[in-house]
Amino acid sequence: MKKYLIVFLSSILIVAIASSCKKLIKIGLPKDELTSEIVFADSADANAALVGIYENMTEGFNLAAGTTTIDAGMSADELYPTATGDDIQFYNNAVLPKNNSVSGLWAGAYSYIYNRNACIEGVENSSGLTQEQKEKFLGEARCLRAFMYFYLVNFFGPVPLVITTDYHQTRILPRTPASEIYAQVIEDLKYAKSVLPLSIAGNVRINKDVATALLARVYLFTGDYKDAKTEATEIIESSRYSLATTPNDVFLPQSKETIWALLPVSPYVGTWEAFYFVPSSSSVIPDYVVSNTLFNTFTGNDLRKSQWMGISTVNGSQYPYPYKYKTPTIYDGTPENYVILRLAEQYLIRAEAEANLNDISDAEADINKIRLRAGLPPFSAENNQTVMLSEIETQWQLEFAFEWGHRWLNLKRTGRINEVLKASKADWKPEAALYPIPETEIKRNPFLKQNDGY
Amino acid sequence: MKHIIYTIITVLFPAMIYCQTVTGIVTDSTKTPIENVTVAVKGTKQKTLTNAAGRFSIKITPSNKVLQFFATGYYTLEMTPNLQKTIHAVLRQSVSSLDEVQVIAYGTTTQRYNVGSVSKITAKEIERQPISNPLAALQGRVPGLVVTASSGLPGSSFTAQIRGQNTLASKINGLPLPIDNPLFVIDGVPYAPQNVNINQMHSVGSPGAGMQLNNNYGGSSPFNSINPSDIESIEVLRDADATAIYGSRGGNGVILITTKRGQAGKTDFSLNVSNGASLIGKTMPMMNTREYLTMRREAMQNDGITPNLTTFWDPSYAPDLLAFDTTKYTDWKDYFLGNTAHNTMINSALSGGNANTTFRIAAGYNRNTYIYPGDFAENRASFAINLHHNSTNKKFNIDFSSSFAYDKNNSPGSPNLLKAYQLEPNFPDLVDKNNNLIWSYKGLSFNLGMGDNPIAYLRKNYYLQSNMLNSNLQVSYKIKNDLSFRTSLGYNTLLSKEYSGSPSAALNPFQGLTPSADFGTNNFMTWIIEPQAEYKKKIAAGVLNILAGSSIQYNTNATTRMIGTGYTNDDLIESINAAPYVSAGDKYSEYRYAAIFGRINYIYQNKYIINLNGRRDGSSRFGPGKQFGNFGSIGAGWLFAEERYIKENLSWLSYGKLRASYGLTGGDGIGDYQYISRWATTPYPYGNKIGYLPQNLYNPLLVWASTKKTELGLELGFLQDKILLSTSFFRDISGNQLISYYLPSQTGFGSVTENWDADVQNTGLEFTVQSQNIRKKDFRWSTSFNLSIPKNKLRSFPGLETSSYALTYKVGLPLNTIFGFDYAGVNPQTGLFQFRTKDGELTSTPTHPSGTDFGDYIKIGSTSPKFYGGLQNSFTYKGIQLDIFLEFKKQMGINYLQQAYSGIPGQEFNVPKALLGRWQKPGDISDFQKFTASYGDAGRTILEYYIVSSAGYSDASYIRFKTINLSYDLNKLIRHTALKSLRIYGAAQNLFTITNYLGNDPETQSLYGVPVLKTFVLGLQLTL
Repeated sequence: MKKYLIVFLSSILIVAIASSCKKLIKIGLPKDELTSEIVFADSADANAALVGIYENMTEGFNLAAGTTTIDAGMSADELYPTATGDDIQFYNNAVLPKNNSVSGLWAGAYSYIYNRNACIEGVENSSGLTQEQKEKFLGEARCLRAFMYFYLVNFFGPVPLVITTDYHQTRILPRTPASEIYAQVIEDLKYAKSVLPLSIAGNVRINKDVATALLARVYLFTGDYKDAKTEATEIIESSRYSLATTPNDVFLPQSKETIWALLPVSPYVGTWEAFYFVPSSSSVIPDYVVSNTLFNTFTGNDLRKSQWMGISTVNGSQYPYPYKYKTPTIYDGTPENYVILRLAEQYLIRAEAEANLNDISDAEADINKIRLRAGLPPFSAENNQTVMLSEIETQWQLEFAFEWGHRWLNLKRTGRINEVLKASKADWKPEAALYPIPETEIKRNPFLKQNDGY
Repeated sequence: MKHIIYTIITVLFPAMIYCQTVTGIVTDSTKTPIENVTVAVKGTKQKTLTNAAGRFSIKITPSNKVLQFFATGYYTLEMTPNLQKTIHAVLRQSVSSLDEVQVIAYGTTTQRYNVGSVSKITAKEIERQPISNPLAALQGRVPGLVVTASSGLPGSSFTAQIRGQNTLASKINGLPLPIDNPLFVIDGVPYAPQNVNINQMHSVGSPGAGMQLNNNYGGSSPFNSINPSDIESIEVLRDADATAIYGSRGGNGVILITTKRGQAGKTDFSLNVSNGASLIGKTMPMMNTREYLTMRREAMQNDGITPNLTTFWDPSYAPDLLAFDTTKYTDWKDYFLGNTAHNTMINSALSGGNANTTFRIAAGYNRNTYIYPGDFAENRASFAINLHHNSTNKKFNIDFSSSFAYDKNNSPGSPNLLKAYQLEPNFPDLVDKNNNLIWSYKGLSFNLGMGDNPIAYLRKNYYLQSNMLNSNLQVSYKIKNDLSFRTSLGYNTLLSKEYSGSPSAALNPFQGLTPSADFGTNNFMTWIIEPQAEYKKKIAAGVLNILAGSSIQYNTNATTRMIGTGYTNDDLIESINAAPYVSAGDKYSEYRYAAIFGRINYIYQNKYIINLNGRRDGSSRFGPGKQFGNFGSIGAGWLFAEERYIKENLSWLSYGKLRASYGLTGGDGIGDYQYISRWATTPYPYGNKIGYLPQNLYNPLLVWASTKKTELGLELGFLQDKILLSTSFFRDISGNQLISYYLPSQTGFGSVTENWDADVQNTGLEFTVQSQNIRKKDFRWSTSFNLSIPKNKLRSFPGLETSSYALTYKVGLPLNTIFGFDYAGVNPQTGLFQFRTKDGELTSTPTHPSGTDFGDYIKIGSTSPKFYGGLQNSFTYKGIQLDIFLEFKKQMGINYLQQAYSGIPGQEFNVPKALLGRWQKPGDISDFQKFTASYGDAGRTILEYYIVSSAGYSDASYIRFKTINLSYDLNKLIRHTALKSLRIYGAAQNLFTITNYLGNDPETQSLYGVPVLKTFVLGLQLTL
């Protein structure tokens, strides 16, 4: 019996395997995954693909979740690090091409850009979406892509312009001139503005106003003051937004000033900025300390000085730290949203555009909106454009202190960076205005050239 | 045929007419008749073979009446027969290692009849080494196999590579990636984790890739779960003939591990107990306080900086000069690494059985402590069972083997511990009277512009706990004498659990860090079913053996991670329940595999061998239409010493074989699911919606990588196999490279799995000599020696210039070629390192490579070994046995300078004493540039050039006294006791190393890593 059983079983197995190999090696997808065909088959799943982008932006500590503020803050004259590590390279304006934070900025931005391109292609090729749904998703994705390119071009100068997911094409793309990047950014934003509704999910997803506000900023950066003024005016006069009454209220979730913010997603971290800036007690040394230069620029009665900075005292020394966001973890108080665009910026954009268009009195009016909220007396430039521009630079510095790298970007935009940073940084070199292209990228793409000075 | 020839010969020689016929029988010592023995009349061409009953008849003449008996596997016998009687010749079985059983794919053979390239390490060789990981037992003993330890810490991983690097992408940015691992099979079951590190978290044994710690392969070895003393043999399969039957997974060679079986007879109980100690060997001395402070002051002076106690974010902050006691001195290296680790090993086994059933039951315990202060150790308990049963008619056979091991490795959790001895030598006290950590000195906080309290690293706990089960059941039935069926069922699983905690006691209170703990599991599982049929039949004067079978395999890997933060009580930190904030994630992948395979082996006249292998494989790692691949090999051997004219004319040549093989093997060594475009859910909802994120760049066209292997071998045995020599030449060409192709991040991802049409060639020569130099009754001396001379090169790489590898590889050079700046000493005027440009000029600012231009980079060398091998000498005098094993390797490696200059020597941390030979004033000729404390060009840019220059590489060749084992049999003492044998022994591992290496240890090549330890053990072995 035994022997027949074994012979029988063995033969069956050999025959079975020989005849049905294909079935034997069929595996399912991992339990938490889908294929791209399914993702863009209907509107609910396509929407999830866009939601993924936002979640991803808030989840990791990267370009869109704090690194911009910290790295650019150290590179400019706003912050210095207290912990040992590569951060000191930013403070010393001596960033090495192998710096992890720089590769994180670069790789993170391009990973977000890939996600957006994948959404754009998925939506365009989908047969399960209506034209209206498609336009909404495309507008959102293209606006997000423009946002990433804006930071890439400001950090690194010319960068490869990637607008497809096909790696056979994208892996050998060389750097594209900054003007072409800006052209693409403006095209994406204009498209988004033309198709997006006024609101999708409050101010925590891209809507028409976000595209408009970003357009205002991009026009300012490209020196197109007329269009910058037009776009900023559109936001300011929409009356959908108003300045918070006091600096402390600016970053609260219900703040009317917010144009675009990201929701916290981690079950622990509130905003990454609060998480990294706010020490666990006032006797702990903060990871990042506000520089004397910045600290002393706030005058005594500026409300922003007391409301947007905290002070730690350790072993008798005082360490001021950024305190715009107050809740490091969601257990520390009201969870805050991470604000990307707010109305105050539109006033400053318009003020600067007006000043450059030699419309000093309008510029004064806009600047005084910001000063007033900070508890400062009105300012008059006595119709002097230089004085006006200088005051605008100071208000940018104070109102957007340690916020999204505005100081670093503005100093570069206005060409004042060498003059300003030579004064506060011993080893300042003009080449340090652009971060190095990460070493890995240069190695992996033979068509990518390094920035000067690295 | 033969008989006809002999008949013709007889007819042709009339002298034969006068001869006389003798008859006889040939048996072995157990009186079992032996078939096919050549019976010859000495000095004539008269010859015959014995029949199945061992009988023969042959004609002799009065002048030529000496008979010779030759048979494979037996010593040659000569006798002058008594013509009146039937002759009874008894042949003694030869002890030639040529006839020992050799395990191969789906069967066994002997070296004599194997046409493949296979090396065997026996239990005897393993048992003489005081090691706890079976991979360690292979170091230096197998030609063509390089096994390298990643660290000297208990449980740390080993890399294993057979016959060189086959795959591209071995390194990018100087960081090597997992090398081509061979396929590991234990008792017929592919080991579920293979040689992949089982840990997910960092710890002192797994610091991760990074210039400073330079331990890219560090991690926990899955082979810690295998008790070496349960291993009967390890076979290393190299060429196409030996590996092609493994098809797609044989491309990188195969390592077969076979566990011990029971022996029929009286039940034996054996016990082996040993105890020992391990120490660190020679390491680079660091500066003492006086030298260190000299360096610091000089650096400040060179930079024109005045030290202060306020600007801690700036290089001018100098508590070591201004606040610390400048007369205090602690040798931190001695403090952390100067301790002794202890090793305990207990192995016991019960074995026995009868003609039908045999068994072996074994239990083992192993404990290795750490050289770091504190209660850190790796403990392993293991059990193994082997059962065999056969029916009395020997038609039905069943074999069951199962082993279980529990391993817990409890170690310090912080990799920073490795560089703890960078601490300022005059650093203040670290703990107070109550053994609590101190975090500041004179109002200055630690880790703020100065060193951190390294005791904290010891208080971060980590453990890795694993349970491994490996079971195999093989049932076979002989339907007829020549046909048998068998089915092999195997199951292997390794479940590991990991914990890494940062309790508040280990956290600097001035940094406001919250206590946290990380929990993980990593589970591997494989099952395999392999039904097979084997047909064995004598055809003509040869033996035909046909094997056909199929294989279904299923693998899964599931990992989980949970991180808890905000613990309020350190006593609760090992539980996730006590964490107020928890985040979690998991991953799961599966892999299926199905194949049919076959082998045809024919041995004609015990002289000519032909062996064909074939396999058709399907793997779930490839997309539709690409899943199946065909592999195969052809091998042939000629035992030329069996030819009559050689036997007669070169009687000293007792064995000679020429063998050759050619075949195609493959590789599917990529991740699962690479052929589909996948989107996964986001870890958290945004608002209240879950999002999707793309997971990969996919490639639906993926197919197998293929390796074409060619081998030629010559094996010789002299003086009745007292000297055995084996040489092989091989050439492996790996094409259609299946690689994780590195992409610039602008594509959205760091890599994509691709087939790349680049050819990598590995060639080499391998020699093995085994010799029994002296074989007397009381004294025996034997030597074995192996040497491998490998050569690796990139044969072709279409499109190299536009690929991500443009600055990594050059066609014609080895894959492990190092490119870097050409270091040219220190400029006597400026005191800065300088380099030679490609135009031969000296500069301190050479040009970096860019695009496809290597800039001022030159070819520095290659990290692949030039040659390597081992030399074993064994001496036995009466009951005393001495084994000495030397491992040697000629290679280039990373020296200590690359790591010493990863920081800026002159800043506030200690460096090797050697750097005192620095440049001080114009005109100085020196090896090291001036000290500097700032981030100016001297400290930053030039050091960046320096660490990628030829200065960072140098000779890392060594000869290591790997194992010395002295044992003494006390069998005389136990004559009247129940003991069957008693032996005491002492063994030393890595006793000393002869090397010119600049740094700690030429094998692990890390300034801050833990070199392989010197281990001394004393032990006792007995059998009851």
